[in-house]
Amino acid sequence: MKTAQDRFDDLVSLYLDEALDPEGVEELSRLVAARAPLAARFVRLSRVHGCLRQIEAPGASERMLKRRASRRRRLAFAWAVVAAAALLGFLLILWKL
Amino acid sequence: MGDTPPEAQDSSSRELMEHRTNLFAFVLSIVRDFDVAEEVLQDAAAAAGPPAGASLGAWVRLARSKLPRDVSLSREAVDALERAVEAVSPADWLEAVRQYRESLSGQTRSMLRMRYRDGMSGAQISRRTKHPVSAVHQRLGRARAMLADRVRSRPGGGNGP
Repeated sequence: MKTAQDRFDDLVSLYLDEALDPEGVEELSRLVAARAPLAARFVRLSRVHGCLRQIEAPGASERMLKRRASRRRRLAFAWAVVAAAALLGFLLILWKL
Repeated sequence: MGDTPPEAQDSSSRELMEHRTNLFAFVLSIVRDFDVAEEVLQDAAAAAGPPAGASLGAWVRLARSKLPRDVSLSREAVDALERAVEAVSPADWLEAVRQYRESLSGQTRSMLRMRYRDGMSGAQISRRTKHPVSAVHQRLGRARAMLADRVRSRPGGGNGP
């Protein structure tokens, strides 16, 4: 027989695994908002969730952040090229006038 | 913010690191996705942070301001998590989780690897292992709950609220 805590843990677990339906998310939100000990348990389960990621896939976050920084640099470069081309075009038009 | 002086950013990043475990747990409890949680923390670190020596609460509020707009949980639930994260012990759990993980069955450890190392969903693990998807979710959930309970109840493990 499931206890209320088991039920809550199941909801959190499904939520963390992105497998909780909207009704479940609503129920989870209600429980967390109404009961401080359940909110604390939610945070602890989330902490385990984060630790497991660090243990099983060490360095994954750093790699993601590097990819993100590289993507941003490429985007900034692309914008600079577009801006330079626009300026050049504008100057050419002015020169022809 | 781009106009934050580099030295202020360094100081902010140092303070962020001190609160990182709890902040990450807070953000992760809301966004669930590891990469999104990392991005939120990075945005918080890059922003003009709270004054030096600010409480965890100030950092939590800053991280909250960087959350994506489309979070699933209600605003009241996020408020409750914000209050809860300050009450949870900041003790380092990583080594303890690593240690207690070894006591799980081989099958559970294998599912955790698929979930966290390979980034598989419950449905994908179900197809791979031939277990019903509900059993996969149940096993992952029980493992996380067991680890949380054991870490919390260990000596000096932050057996707080």
